[in-house]
Amino acid sequence: MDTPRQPEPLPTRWESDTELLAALRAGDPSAYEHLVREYGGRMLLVARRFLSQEQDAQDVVQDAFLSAFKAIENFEGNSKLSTWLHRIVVNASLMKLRTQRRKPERPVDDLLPRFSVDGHRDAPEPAWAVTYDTAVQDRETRDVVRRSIAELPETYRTVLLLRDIEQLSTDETAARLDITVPAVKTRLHRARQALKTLLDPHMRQSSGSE
Amino acid sequence: MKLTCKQLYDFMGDYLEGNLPPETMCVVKTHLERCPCCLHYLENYHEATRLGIKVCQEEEKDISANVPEELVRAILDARGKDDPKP
Repeated sequence: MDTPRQPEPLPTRWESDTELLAALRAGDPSAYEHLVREYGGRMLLVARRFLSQEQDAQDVVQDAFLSAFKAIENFEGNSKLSTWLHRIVVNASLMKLRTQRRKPERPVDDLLPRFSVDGHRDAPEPAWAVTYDTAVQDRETRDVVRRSIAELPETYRTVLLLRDIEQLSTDETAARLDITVPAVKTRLHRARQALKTLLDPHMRQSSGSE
Repeated sequence: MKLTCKQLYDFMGDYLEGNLPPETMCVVKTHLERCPCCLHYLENYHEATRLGIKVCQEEEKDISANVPEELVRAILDARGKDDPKP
């Protein structure tokens, strides 16, 4: 869905988080607008990783900002505002996932390697043709990586996002998702395997497009 | 102790993070030296993981102003209704 976007950022009147925070606490409307314009895009991007529906992601960002506005008096400034907002939108995304009725997922088994009865792989495994350094420089590859993460079944994608992207510990991920530590480890491993499978066609044949 | 390829795959995450007992690390290493299929799988698995992390990190650096205008308005309007000091 195409939506109108704000092409020009507002001029920054606040030199630091401390100044912006003071303006927010004073109820300055332009400070609130600045906060939303400055951080809203990144927060939406984070929410979209967790939630496949655009409207859900936008709802989560709105909820996250409203929670942040209410909590602004209590923000102690131990972390950057951006880090604090990031944490709030991750929490709001997890909350949204918990309240949604679980939809049928693609079985992750389809994306895992298969083995013969004697424990050997049932197919050859060539080294990827594209190196890591080339891949990160290539826009098409970056798009493929993003799409592949989005394509992971939700149960596995959520664990991969929390552990690998958000860099939470295994224990913290288990607590957030209310699952066991071994379940986090198993899901993370399968999520990484599934991501690798989804990237295979591109990484085996491509030599980069930029 | 010997590992089949299937068993080795189960250890990959812990192997990459160095979380296996020394003896198991050694067995995995020996298997990888002799099995190019598993070695390539491990390298590709590792690269997929690193790419996922890197692409997401870089994406966040690039996106400062990219927020739909209607969402900005919805958030600010909702704040106006909530906040006693507009």
